[in-house]
Amino acid sequence: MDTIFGAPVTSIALTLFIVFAIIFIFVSYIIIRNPILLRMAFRNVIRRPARAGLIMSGLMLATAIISIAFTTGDSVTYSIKNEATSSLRELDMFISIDEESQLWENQPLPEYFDENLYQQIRTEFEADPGVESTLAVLSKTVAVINVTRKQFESNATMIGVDEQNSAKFEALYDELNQSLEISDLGPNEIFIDIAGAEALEAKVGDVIQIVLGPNQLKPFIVKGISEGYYFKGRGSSITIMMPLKRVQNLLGKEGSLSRVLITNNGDPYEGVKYSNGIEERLGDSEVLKSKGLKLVPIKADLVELANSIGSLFVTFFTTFGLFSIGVGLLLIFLIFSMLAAERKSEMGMARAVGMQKQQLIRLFMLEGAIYGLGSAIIGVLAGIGIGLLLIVAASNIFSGNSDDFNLSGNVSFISALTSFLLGAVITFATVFFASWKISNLNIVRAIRDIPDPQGTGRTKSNLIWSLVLTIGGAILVGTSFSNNQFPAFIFGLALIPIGLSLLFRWIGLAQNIVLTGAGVILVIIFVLPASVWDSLNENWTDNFASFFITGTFLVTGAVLIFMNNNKPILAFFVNTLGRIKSIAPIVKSAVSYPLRYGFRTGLSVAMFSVVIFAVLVNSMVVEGFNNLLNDKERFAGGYDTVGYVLSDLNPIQDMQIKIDSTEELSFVTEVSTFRTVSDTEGLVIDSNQTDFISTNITGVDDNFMESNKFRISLATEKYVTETGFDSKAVWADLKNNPGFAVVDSGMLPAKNSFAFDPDDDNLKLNVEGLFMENEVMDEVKVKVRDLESSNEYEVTVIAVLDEFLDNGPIIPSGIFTSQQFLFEKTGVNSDATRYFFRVEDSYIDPSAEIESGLFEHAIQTLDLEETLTELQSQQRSFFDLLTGFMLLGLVVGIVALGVISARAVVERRHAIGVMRAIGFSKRMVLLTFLGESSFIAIMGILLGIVLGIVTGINVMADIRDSADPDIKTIIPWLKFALIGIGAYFMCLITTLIPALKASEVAPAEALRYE
Amino acid sequence: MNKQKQVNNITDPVIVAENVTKTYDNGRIKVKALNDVTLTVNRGEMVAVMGPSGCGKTTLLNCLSGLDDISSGTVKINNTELSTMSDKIMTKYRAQRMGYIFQAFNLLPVLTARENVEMPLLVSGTASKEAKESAENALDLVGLTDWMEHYPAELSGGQIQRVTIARSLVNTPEIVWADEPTGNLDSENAKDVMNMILKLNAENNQTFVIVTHSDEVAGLTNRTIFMRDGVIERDSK
Repeated sequence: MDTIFGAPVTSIALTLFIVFAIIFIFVSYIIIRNPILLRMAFRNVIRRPARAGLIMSGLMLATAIISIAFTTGDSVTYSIKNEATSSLRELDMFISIDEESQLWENQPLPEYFDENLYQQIRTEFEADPGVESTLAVLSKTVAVINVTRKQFESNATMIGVDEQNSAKFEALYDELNQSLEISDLGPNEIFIDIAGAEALEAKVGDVIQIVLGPNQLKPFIVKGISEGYYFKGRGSSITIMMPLKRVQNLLGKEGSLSRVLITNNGDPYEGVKYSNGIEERLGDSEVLKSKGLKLVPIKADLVELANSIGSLFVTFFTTFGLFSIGVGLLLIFLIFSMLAAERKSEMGMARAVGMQKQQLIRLFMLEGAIYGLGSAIIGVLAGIGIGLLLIVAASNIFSGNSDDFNLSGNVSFISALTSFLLGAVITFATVFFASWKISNLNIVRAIRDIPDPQGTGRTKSNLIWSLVLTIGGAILVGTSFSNNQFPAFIFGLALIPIGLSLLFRWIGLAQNIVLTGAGVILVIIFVLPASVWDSLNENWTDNFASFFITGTFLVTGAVLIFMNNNKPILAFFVNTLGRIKSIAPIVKSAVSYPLRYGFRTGLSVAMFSVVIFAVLVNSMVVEGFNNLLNDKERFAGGYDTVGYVLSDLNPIQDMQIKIDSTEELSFVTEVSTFRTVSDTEGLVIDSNQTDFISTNITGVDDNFMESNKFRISLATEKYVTETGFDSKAVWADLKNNPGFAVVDSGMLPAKNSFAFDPDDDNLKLNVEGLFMENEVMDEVKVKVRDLESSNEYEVTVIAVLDEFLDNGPIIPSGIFTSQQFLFEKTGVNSDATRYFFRVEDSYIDPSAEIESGLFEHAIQTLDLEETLTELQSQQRSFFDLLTGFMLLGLVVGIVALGVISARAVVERRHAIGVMRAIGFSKRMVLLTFLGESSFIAIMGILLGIVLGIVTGINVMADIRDSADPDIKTIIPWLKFALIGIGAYFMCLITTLIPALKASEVAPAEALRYE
Repeated sequence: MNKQKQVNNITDPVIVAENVTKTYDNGRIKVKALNDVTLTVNRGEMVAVMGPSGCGKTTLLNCLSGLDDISSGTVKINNTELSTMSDKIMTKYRAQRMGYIFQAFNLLPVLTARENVEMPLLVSGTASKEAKESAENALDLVGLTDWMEHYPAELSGGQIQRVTIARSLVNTPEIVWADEPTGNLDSENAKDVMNMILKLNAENNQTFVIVTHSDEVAGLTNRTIFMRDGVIERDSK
């Protein structure tokens, strides 16, 4: 990974290191000046080892979550890099035809280039200090049959290599480490790579037939099975190797090359570092430019892709971990506030005998530094461990998808260091704030351990903060409204009631009234459905930040209401559970204590609520989207199997005739054809676009336009019906009006960015005011340039395909128009690229039968029902994994309760003595303490569930209105119940030890204890 | 202070302690807090326990009331030996038949005055409504009708101690144990509290054992025990 949130990792690490170094120097200075403070801080830490352990485990959470995000990012990066390196082997770069070269204007785009250029290329490139050797090759995707073993494969790479230089590029060896020389191959002999041999079950001596054209099956004998293979085409599992001249001869391409392969100095893992330098020196060399060729740094590109996907994972996990990181920081604050409360009288005494306020802050900071350093180290290690477990789980989830790709765990030093520094710095910053806050004590009240008076609220700081928050919030609301930034708008809106509550407090209104008011307003703001905000501004742009803001302020509002109205809550419990004689005193004590300690209870309730809230909303959205995958017709357009054409060597002129003439395909009832032309560029008319941008255009046949059941997400006014868009009318118009077109949803910009799509450079319809979220669109005219024929023509986009199709690999991206129109405009009746099959009902495994029946045409098939099921299962598993990750935040809440309970036992020792004296049995004391933590946990969980469900319903309604009318609101009650009950039992376990300790307190001893 | 000695029926022994020894052992040092103490308190008697700090007064009260266990000897309450009672029975016994008055700040801070007084009744299984009524009566008796719904932090020291007295008496216990009941009070409040205790002792024939440093408080009781170094130095009736 090179970047996170767009910033280079090394810069982030360096900045954090500088901040950490400043903190370190500052802490060292304190220690040198006052060594006694370090001794006191250290002794405070070790005074109660069990509690220190609990505190550390709570403090480490924020660091652990950051570390998990880094570990997953690193592992994904490493796995892709590793995959790229091990699959490309010695190949670092290659030279091939530059499709965008101006040389090919007004003429067909060539597939090959002149072999005579190789000598010049070789001389120039092999003179470069970064290049080790080059190799001229001609390769083609072909279908192959192992006649001996009766196995076939439709996607194999046949490659001819310059035998004079092949061994220098990469020496081939068989499994017994015997050297294999291309030049030793006889006229009918081939080498096959190990993976290919496994796919075809091939052994040395087997006869392999290669499909070279209609009825052209050329037999070869396997002379050797090689570990290396020079080059393998996309998706291909087999490479068949032979001399260059032979492949040129087989394809009728004498004197032609498809590529020049380049291997850099160093081994396959190290060589990639020279690619940038070579590209800078030779990328624009005369021999390439003048002949319409380009240098492709394939391995470096894949490494870069690996880095960006890794960064994407860090962003993804960090975003979803924000709530947990937030509650982790709350916990740090809570823990230090409680430590201060516990030592209030000590601190008061220290101040009374002359300790400065600064020294108190320093004492706490030193203690915090010890905790922070320890917890950051533990957090990084725990994060790495959990991250690796997540990778193992993810690897299991996705292992069914690809035989080749292995997700393996990896952590880089720089990531571990960055997580540690980030964790340590944010922990220390929170500790510093908490230390400063708690050092503001009244000496007498502290010594006598008297609670601080509530005060009138008429303080200078209240006035200043109220003005800052109210005015700042109003300004933010105004600017974000005009900029259409929804997250900033609701953030500003949330600041206003908080600011006003401080102002009313300053004026003299009672605290519980103003805070309840602020809470009610916050809850109202954040439970309002999106349609309310949309009625204010139709052009909002939104992203994940609004989810975080909603969760934070909604929970804050609810907790403010909850904690400032404790009397009705207490009355409710006393009048319900309290009526049961045997538990009445327990209920009364268990509810009264948390309600009286509002700050810590509020924080703990908020910790539980916010995490449960985030998990539930996320679960409802996932359930809704996953449920859409049950709609096979929508996903597959009414088709059963899709077939991808992998090679143009043996094209099928008319698939319907082929099916009719092939008995084993008699179960196919209907077929439609796509002809996709990739060498296409587009320019959106009436937009700011000035240059043509690469895109695809697909010609769809009449059959498809008449019978497909794919839906339309957005269309012009003409197609609007009461229930959405009339997709049949759209397809009918496409058929009847040459030049009409439909585009895939990826071509439209979106107002909201909830997906983690990497940037793509392909054509987008960037027309003012046109977004995927619109209710209707105007026609968009696009000028299309066919690179092969250099013809230019215009299409009119009337509709956008169902966004839902982005989920699967069924429909290609780009523009769709009628085949007839495409043929007329390009003059090229290009080969079919994709087929859609319908088969007889209940025919078992049609895909395999179709692939088998058409294998000599190199057609690979995909069973759509199977794909749908697999996709659903993968999505569910991945999001379950994500839910698990998000639930880590609950650990914070659970630890918080553990710390609160432990603190309560110390703090209320005397009260326990009183309780025991007036008749509380040990069991009743135990139940009282467990009841207290249960009250906090259950309140937090219930609040989280209620707020989560309300927000989830709103979110789903919004998605239904703006994106997908079919999406359903599904509340996964069982999942919620399991999460709620699981979290509650974890709380009971954590608070059981302090509760047991409380019950074991000897009354006489407790009464003596002051 | 109204110096009025109460003489009740004092022939029925309710607390009988024989050769009670209590040793605190923290692993490094052993401290004998009570050394072979023998004592009998009769029903309705009001006994003051006095002595210098560390002489074992509070330890004696804790051991006699069953709040603490003893190292040797026997303590009988109403002819039942405490050591034979399980913790559960002892706790129940305390809830139903004993009352405790400690120094100030011994109320549960999160409960109102009424709720604090209700608590011993609820613990011993009294129905909620009944407990509430009894608590209100008890608070009325100690003159706190208007302060029932206030939390301890909102009450003065004297009021807190009156709530404690109401709590200790709400279940009409046979024995009330009081540890420095006026220790944190000014003379005016101390006088009020002691008058209240004397009144209840006179009206209900309850037994009071009061640990105190105050000669004035001791002067109001009908028996004073002086302790020194864990032994009863003097017992003046």
